[in-house]
Amino acid sequence: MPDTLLSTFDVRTAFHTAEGTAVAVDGVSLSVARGETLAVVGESGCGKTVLGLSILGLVQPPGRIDAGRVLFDGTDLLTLSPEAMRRVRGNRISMIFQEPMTSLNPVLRVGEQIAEAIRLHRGKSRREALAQAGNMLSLVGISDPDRRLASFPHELSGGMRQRVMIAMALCLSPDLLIADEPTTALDVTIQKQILALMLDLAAAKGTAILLITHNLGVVAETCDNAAIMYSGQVAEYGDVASLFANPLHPYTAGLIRSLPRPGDKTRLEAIPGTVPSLTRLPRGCRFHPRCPRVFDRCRTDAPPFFRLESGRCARCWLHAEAALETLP
Amino acid sequence: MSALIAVQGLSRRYVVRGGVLGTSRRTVTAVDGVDLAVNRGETVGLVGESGCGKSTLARCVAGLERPSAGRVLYDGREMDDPRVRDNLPRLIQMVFQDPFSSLNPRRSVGFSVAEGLWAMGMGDRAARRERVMELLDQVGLLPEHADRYPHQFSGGQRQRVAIARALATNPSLVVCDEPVSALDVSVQAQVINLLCDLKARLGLAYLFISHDLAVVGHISDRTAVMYLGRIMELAPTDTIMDNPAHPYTRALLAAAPIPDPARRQAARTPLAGDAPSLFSPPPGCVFHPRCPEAMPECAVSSPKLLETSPGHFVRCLKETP
Ligand SMILES: Nc1ncnc2c1ncn2[C@@H]1O[C@H](COP(=O)(O)OP(=O)(O)OP(=O)(O)O)[C@@H](O)[C@H]1O
Ligand SMILES: Nc1ncnc2c1ncn2[C@@H]1O[C@H](COP(=O)(O)OP(=O)(O)OP(=O)(O)O)[C@@H](O)[C@H]1O
Ligand code: SF4
Ligand code: SF4
Ligand SMILES: [Mg+2]
Ligand SMILES: [Mg+2]
Repeated sequence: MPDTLLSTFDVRTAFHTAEGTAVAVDGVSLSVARGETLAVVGESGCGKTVLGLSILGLVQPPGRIDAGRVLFDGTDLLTLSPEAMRRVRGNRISMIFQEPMTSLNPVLRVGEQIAEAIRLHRGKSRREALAQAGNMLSLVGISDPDRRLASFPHELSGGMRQRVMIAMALCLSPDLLIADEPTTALDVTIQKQILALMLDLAAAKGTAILLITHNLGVVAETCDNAAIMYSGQVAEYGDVASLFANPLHPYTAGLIRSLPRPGDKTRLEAIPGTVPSLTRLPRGCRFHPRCPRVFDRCRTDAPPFFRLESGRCARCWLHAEAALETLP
Repeated sequence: MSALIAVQGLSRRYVVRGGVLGTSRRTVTAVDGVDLAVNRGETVGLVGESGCGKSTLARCVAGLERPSAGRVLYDGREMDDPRVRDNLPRLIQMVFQDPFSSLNPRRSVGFSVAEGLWAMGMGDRAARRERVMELLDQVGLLPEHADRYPHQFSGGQRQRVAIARALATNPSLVVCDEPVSALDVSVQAQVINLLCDLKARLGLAYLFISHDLAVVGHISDRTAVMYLGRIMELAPTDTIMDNPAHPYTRALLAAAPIPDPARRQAARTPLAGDAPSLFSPPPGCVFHPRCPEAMPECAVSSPKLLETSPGHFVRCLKETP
């Protein structure tokens, strides 16, 4: 293992509701090295955000982390006191949240919000913090940063709000950055600029990045490794080049086939059906009702996580024979 | 025959506070003199830099905001015409990016879908219920879904609900503001297929905003490229994708991430320079400070949007005779 910064072991986070227990993250084990960018991809509702929140200790009731360990630089974050965890969040791990509108305070000027974050964790004066906030805004490509500091969130376009969130996360230069769909509201040129900024940070400071995204183009261009999630579990893990060239899991293959191709206006090849409800999971492989390669065993036995010689992993019976070992 | 929607010389200005204390007031022009038509059954894609005014233009077209100058004609009639004003929900509906916040969490999905019918006084209770079932079926949901609440659906299903809701009043145009950007690629493919089917079946027209050029390329008949409140290029989509004439369009296409690690691009920042400021737009061509092909005169004279070949409009001095 190269210089591992974060590893999760068998993390299980569930929502205990009247309708039953929904296990949103069901035994996820992943690791990220310093300077590495790991993509987390998967169907809407498969548990990506909840995984990020679990690492940060921000899961709210009725949700609860029921099992697992989150080792960050040698410490199990799940055993820390709320106070110690708050310090880790401010100083060493930052998260860019998926919905900028709900994570920004609507009645506070954005400059104050960024400066507040800087002041809280870096003990700077208001004026220094505001100046740094202005610098961060121009780094994320917002023009006229000094005037924009005085804007309220509703006066900014969707993409500008998203960049304010990014500025807030980056100004603390964290060791680990969890970025949840950081560039969905941005045009491709600014997206490129922001991703380059994040990668520069990874290269210069050795920041590890957990990049949660739907955008396979972004994964292909910026990430080292990728974890493809389905229904709360990691379905496939591996280096990005092999994963695109030769996906191991039929779900990964289906995602890649769903992409629109330039110049081709025929019907897109969506994966038929929808994700199973977390309270009514199918027997056997969770993907089997939608899998084009399903066979008998898939309908009764849940596949374990098979690790192949290449280091790639897949939760699919098709790889049982080639597997070196099975992980839970 | 007049266009379904004709945007003519539309501008939208906002007054915003400036200065660190927020005491000074300035006017910004978010949309600056846009002309754009959408014909019956046509999909017009709208792409461009974040903050360039796409959503503002969309809200003006949907009648949610008043333009500061210029007008929007609906089938040749002004917004103030009662035949337009009183019928707006039957002409235009909007689908927003965020399927989570655009539905009322306390109302059943059936209620949300029927709300527009109820507001327009269309049909009695039983007829409305029947229409809801028909709509849910059209977007690939089940009748039993009508009695469920938004939190019981996945993101993709909620976006289907939002589309069913938009279709309830049988509009001629649906304005889609980044309708698929929150969805994973498989659900995105399902929603795009659905929009294409509905267009074929019901003759719907779309104004379709997206940052994903592959998606716009797939769904749009024509595409408009905006920069700093202005349309820089407008042409049939294949022309925009294969033969872009404007340097900004070319920069945009070059920046699109390619879902193939074997083709990873070395250059990560294709567009140099700062994003433009609405507070002090550059003189001359607004793109000149960042344009890789800028000439000295670009800093002084501002190009007009000209038709350089039939149906292909470009705003660039290089394309100006
Ligand atoms: N407060 C909650 N109560 C009950 N279930 C919840 C709650 N929050 C999340 N869930 C469930 O947990 C699952 C995982 O949600 P999560 O937000 O992690 O999905 P995601 O992978 O981030 O999806 P998306 O791509 O749409 O953001 C979903 O099925 C969701 O319904
Ligand atoms: N209510 C408002 N008050 C002040 N300024 C506004 C308001 N609404 C929008 N603006 C400004 O108008 C400009 C255009 O915003 P708009 O939301 O139309 O951009 P957009 O092209 O949709 O961007 P994005 O791709 O990021 O969603 C932005 O500079 C924004 O700050
Ligand atoms: S285990 Fe069977 S059903 Fe599951 S993904 Fe593999 S082939 Fe498909
Ligand atoms: S007018 Fe000049 S600066 Fe503007 S796009 Fe054309 S070449 Fe570039
Ligand atoms: Mg999420
Ligand atoms: Mg917008």
